[in-house]
Amino acid sequence: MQVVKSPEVHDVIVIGSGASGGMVAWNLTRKGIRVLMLDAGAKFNRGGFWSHVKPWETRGKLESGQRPPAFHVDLKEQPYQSDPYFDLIRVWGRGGKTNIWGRVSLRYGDVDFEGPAKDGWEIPWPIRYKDIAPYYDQVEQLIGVCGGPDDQDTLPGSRFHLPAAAPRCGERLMQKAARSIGISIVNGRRAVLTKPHNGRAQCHFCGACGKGCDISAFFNSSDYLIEPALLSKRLTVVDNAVVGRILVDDRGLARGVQYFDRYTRQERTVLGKRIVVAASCIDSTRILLNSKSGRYPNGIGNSNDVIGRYLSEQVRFHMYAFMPELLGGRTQNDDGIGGEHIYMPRFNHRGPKRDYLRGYGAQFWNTGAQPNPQYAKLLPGFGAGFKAEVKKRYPALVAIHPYGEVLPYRHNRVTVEGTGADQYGLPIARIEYRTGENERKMVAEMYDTAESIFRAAKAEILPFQRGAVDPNGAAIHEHATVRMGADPKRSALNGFCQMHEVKNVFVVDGAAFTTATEKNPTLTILALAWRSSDYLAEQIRSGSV
Amino acid sequence: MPSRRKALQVLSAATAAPVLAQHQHTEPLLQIAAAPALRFFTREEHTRLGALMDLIIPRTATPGASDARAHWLADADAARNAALGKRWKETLAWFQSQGSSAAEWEAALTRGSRETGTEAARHFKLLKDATIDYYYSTRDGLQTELGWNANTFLPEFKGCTHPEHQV
Repeated sequence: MQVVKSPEVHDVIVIGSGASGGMVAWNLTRKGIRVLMLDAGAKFNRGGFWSHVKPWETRGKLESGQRPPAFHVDLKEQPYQSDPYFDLIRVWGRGGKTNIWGRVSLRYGDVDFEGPAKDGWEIPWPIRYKDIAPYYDQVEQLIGVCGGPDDQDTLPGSRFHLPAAAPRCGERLMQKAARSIGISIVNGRRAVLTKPHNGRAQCHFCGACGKGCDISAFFNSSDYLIEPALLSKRLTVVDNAVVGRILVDDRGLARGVQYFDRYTRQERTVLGKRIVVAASCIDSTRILLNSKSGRYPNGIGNSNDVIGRYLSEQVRFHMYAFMPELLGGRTQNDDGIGGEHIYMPRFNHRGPKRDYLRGYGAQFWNTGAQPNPQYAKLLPGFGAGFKAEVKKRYPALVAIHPYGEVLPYRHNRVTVEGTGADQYGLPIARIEYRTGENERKMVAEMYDTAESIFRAAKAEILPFQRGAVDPNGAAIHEHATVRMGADPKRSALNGFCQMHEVKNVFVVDGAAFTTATEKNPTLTILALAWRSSDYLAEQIRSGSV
Repeated sequence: MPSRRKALQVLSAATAAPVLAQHQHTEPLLQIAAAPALRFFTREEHTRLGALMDLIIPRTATPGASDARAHWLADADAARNAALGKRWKETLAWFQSQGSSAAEWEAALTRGSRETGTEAARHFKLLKDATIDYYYSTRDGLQTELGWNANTFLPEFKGCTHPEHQV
């Protein structure tokens, strides 16, 4: 195999083009720093998104050989192992998962940042809300986040929200019912442009965001960060560059990156003075663990055996019901900005002390008239009466999806030993992940809460199995395998996402989090990556790294 | 090059023909125009499937399952998925064993809808779930029957405007 070496030594090499990689590239290049980005895929063709393909048109298009963009990595191309099953969703391509993300944009508060220090479970966060609040402000102004003025201690607010998306009928009724039992449901906070913002067109409320937005009216790293960075002429993106490992020099510092062309499998090496790892939690972890050397036999920056451990996700389930006020009503266009327009912030830190740690919130997608009325399968009978019952309930469907934090456990981990190799000869990831008694107790209360809201609404609740949760990984919020902390013996990164052990390596995606919390992480990933790259730029300027 | 009128006639016939073929069985020209070749089921199985699906979701003031060509969608999927095809063959054979009239099939469906863990329940579930999946993914089922009018361009989204729903 021919090895092609590039003699250029880049200021910074960024691995990954999703939220965190895009943010670092955008921020560094605007500060005059030259960046080489290695992207495992290529730019998706926005004109080819199927955002406006009706359900009944899909089959015909598929049969004629047309295909929507292949966002998700095919497991045949890039397998992984898990025990028990862990549902790992990866997007290799410009912008990564931000092409199809849920867009829920919630600030962490000090209830989140101080939680581990207060309850003593595992290590504390090395930062507090005041450290990151200015970055939340900046991110929200840059990308556009809609929301309301309904701050809580678990959900800090913002002066920069775009207008909130108007709740649908079912969502209003759930708010009303929750309030009647003392639970607050606020406006949703989503990175969707509810009005024109920074020269970008506003959302046209087609509701098909999960297929990618054809006009880029929700934040995605490709259009919002990488394209502007490319205009600076200081960013170079290498497409289809599947990173194998980080190379180190005699001093133990990173000196470059080995990668493979995704399709030709040709091995290449690029040199850089600083490496920013932003390949999404599991792939970032895999790269670090595969970066073994005489100096770092357990993977780069992993002498303390922290990297790969403490994998944290969230427990989640779904409960559906029909609102009596909406039964038999006229079907409305409930698309809006896609997904929910409301959010239930965590509240369990108030009131009586629970017999479990941490908390949960709830989301409400699939409320209203949806294109796939699966509830029909749960209605009894058949025939004209059945058909009428399906129609009667169609406008009345409401849903609650509680999300609960999974504690960081040392045994929940990513490893690469003995897993076999992928097509590039690189060990694949193996995920071991089990939730415990703490989660079981929390899920029990989550069920009680969801049911109590529906009972308060006098809703007809669809059958559910109490205690059942989605498969591990279903929230697509992997965190904490390269966690930050003040203690170098128990963490891999400092509060600026810089490796304790290898000062010129930064890890800026969800892997850097100390805990998962119950919240969707992307807004915090963006804020942390901005803060980290400010710090990196200052370190470069001062010659410290 | 066919005229626009001729093209519309052919299209119209193609849309109407599955229903006509099922209920009239007399007009071979229409059947030819209608029917793309079956990919998996025999003609007899396919006709039976259409009739069974119509018992699940019948034509009322709006189209029924076979009007929406649900049984044709099932044929295409079964042709692509051998395991699914095998299940369909078993289910159709079971319904055939229960009789050949709509009344007999309706009785079998009634049993299947009330029982759990029995053969009747298993075959009923496959038929009902598939009919739901196919029917409500068509324009007839989703738009005409349920009134879904979304995935379009709106200048604004007003949300709930009912005073009685407000918090």
